[in-house]
Amino acid sequence: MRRTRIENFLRLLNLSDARPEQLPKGLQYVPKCKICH
Amino acid sequence: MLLIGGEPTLWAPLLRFNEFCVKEGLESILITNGSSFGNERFWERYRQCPNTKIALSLKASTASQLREVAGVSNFRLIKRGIVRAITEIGAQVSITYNTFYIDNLVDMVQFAVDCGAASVKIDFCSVVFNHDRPDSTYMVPPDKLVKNILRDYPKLESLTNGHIVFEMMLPFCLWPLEFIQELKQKNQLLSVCHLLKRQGIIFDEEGNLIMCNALFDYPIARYREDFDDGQSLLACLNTPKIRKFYDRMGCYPSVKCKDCDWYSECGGGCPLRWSVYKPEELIRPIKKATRRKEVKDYA
Repeated sequence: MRRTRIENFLRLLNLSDARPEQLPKGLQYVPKCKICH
Repeated sequence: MLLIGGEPTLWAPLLRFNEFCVKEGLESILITNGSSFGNERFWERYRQCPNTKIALSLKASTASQLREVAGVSNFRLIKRGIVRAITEIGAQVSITYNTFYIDNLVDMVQFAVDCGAASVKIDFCSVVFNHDRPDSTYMVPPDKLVKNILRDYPKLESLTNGHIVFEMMLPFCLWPLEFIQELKQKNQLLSVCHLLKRQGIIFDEEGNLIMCNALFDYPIARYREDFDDGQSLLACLNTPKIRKFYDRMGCYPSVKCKDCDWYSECGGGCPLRWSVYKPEELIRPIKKATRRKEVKDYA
């Protein structure tokens, strides 16, 4: 079957085949109080 | 909702859209270069129905740099728009670090502060795709990026009185551990994009679904073909085909990331970079023992 454009794109990424069990959470910016900081 | 371009102030229905959001109680954030705000007529109309928040994306700190970066000569107009947005509506400022700013990021941040910015966010230019090929022309190579940011950081921090934030699109392990620790401790670090966290979706100007705003040429679902309302959109997002795309983008860059204590906070950086670089050549997992040792060394 012919691959779609997005499928071709995904093949360009040098990622491993392993998938994390949980999604990464990342770090959020917590605004500081302008008076205190 | 984030409105991002191109330049969304050139989108004809913007003000009507903002009115709709206010009426419906929806928050909207506009990401703009600020040029339209320098125009008196637009500014007066915009102020009647602004977005909830504005994020200004700075392109240049001087007229000559603007000509080089964007090929335009309306620096005074843009500066007027930037100052207005910051001082009158409290707009936030961000700079996408790319090859144009390799040796003048400090000047860019100084310009932002001179325009009234209370804080500055720095993110890092990633890969774009032209004719299905990765193009890293404007992306600063990771080794040079790390070296330059480490060089400039003390000045950036001093200029902004500590109100500098890095949106980390590189894996944490490419930086000295103590630098990442310092940024975390000072609340100066943002990480992991909406795509990897699966906390947002993007529509292009025709309503088609894209995974990332850099992937504007790669719609994964089309409005009116694959979905046409909220319910059909949810169903579409949960189809095996769409889930497979997200699953693929969310794979560990390297299997070494599996063993890294920081993966949850790092996410392996922007996945698009891995169309140019090989993770196995760059990634080194951070484990508790390593972290303790390096932090001790730093102390």
